Amino acid sequence: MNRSLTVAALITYILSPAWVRNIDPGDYEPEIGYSSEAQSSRNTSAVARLFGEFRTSMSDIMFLKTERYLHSGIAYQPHIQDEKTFNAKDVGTLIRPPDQDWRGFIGDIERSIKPWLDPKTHAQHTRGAELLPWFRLMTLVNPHRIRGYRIGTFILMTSGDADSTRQAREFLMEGIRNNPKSHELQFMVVRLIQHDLMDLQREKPNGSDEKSLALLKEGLEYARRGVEFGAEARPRGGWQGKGRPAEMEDSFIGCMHYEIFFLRRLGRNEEALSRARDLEEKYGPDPILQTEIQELEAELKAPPQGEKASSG
Amino acid sequence: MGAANAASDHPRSPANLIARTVWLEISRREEYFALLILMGLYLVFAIGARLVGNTQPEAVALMLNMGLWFSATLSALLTLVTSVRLIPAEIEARTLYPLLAKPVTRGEVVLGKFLAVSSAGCLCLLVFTALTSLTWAAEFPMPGQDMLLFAQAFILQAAALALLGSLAMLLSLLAPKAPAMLVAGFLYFAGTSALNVLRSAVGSSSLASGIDWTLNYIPHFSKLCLFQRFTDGASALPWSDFGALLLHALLTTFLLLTLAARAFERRVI
Repeated sequence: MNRSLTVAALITYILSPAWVRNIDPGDYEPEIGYSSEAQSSRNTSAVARLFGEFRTSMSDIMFLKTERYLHSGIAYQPHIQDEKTFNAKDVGTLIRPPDQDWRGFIGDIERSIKPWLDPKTHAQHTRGAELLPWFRLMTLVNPHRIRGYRIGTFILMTSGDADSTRQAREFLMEGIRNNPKSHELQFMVVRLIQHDLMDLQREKPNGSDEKSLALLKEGLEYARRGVEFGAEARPRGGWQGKGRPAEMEDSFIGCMHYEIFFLRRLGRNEEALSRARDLEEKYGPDPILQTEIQELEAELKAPPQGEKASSG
Repeated sequence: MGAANAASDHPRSPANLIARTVWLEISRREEYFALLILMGLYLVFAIGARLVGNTQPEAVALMLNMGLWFSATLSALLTLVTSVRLIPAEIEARTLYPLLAKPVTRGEVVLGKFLAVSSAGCLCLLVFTALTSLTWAAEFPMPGQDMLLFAQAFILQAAALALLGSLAMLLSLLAPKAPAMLVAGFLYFAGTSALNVLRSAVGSSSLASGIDWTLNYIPHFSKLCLFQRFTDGASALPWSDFGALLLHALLTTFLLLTLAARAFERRVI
């Protein structure tokens, strides 16, 4: 009896990866406590602040490390992620400047032995390419760390190396394999394609060759997918708040804009107009979409001229 | 009266008796009170926060998360530390010989000790979780938090403790105490991250699928720890996923215990 039970358990166990390998309970969109408003509210509680330190996960620590590295090791407060408040006027360093430091010579010593610069000169960023191993490690530890893929791709893309866009694309495709429904990563591909299109335009300012046509079609596919995935996850009023919700909303809106831009550049103006109207109806008024609609209406009403008419 | 006597005279199974002895030992060990003190520290802070009116939903969600995380971690530490040293300590102290001289099999010894360790871990989890929930009773569950997911999280966490206990017992029979504790602790606290690194390192090579399949035989404790998911306000797991994870954890526990019993039987004492 015992032996047959063990054998049955063993066989079931051997087959078990078939049903557990694709289950990932950690892959979900958090509903509570992740918006910037929630963080601000939470930070008014002293006890929550005290305990909040424990919650910092490994990849969060890495993100802070990379951010600090970008600022030559200087710790700023608030963080770079809160871009709206990150300007020279409001930003302070974690180690106070002399005019705000009551500690006297102890403060002087700390400023001398630790990385510190006057907050007014905070914009002295490093190139960022040195950070790439951190982003690599961050995404290895947590393959659902979408922000790691996004920023890593951006740094790779703008590093200026000869092979940079190919490497950025490889990194980003890995992110898409691990997070196939992320509209933010679809938007990053769109940005990457736009980057390539601009490079092509610099090479051939007047020409529109097959390569750029293929890139435009590819970009349109990714933009459409970004809108589709974003719409599935988006709350009714859009992602609210600063920080990560703002990035999600910006990526979604960016995908909508690029879908229309790419359609126009492909000469499919009627389709672009109808799609822009449709998007505005579904997701609310948007100044850029409104401008596009106005321009497209004017273009389509105007009598066809020259190349535009033949390509349209 | 007679019925009570009859019940007390009824012979208990050897595994049950061994479990009772281990339970007695656990309740007498002073170091386990350190866990109570740590949980007590959290409760002092949490109750203090309530008394001074720190009851904004975001702060409560964080404190609840911390409390549940503490409960799960402290129960895991109790399970890990106890199960790793149970048999080696008895071998070192030579208290195992009188036990083995009695009519019990070595498999029953392993089973009895496992039952005691895992039930102690689960009791610790139950008490600490209850204390955390009671501290925030007025806000628990918060809007958006799913009590079905809470129940799932508790059951899977208990299964994780049983799995950790069986793994640590097996390792303690194969290796010295310290490495056994390190390996089991590493797998519990950081195993999934390490396995993710391995998976990514393999990338999309031809071997990737096979390696990915093989890595699933290593216990993924993070898949069984859902308290974070609960406090983040996510939905409950589909029953098929919950059942699959639970079955996988129980099967792995059973097989690790069978291996531990085999290793103990072959061990020359």
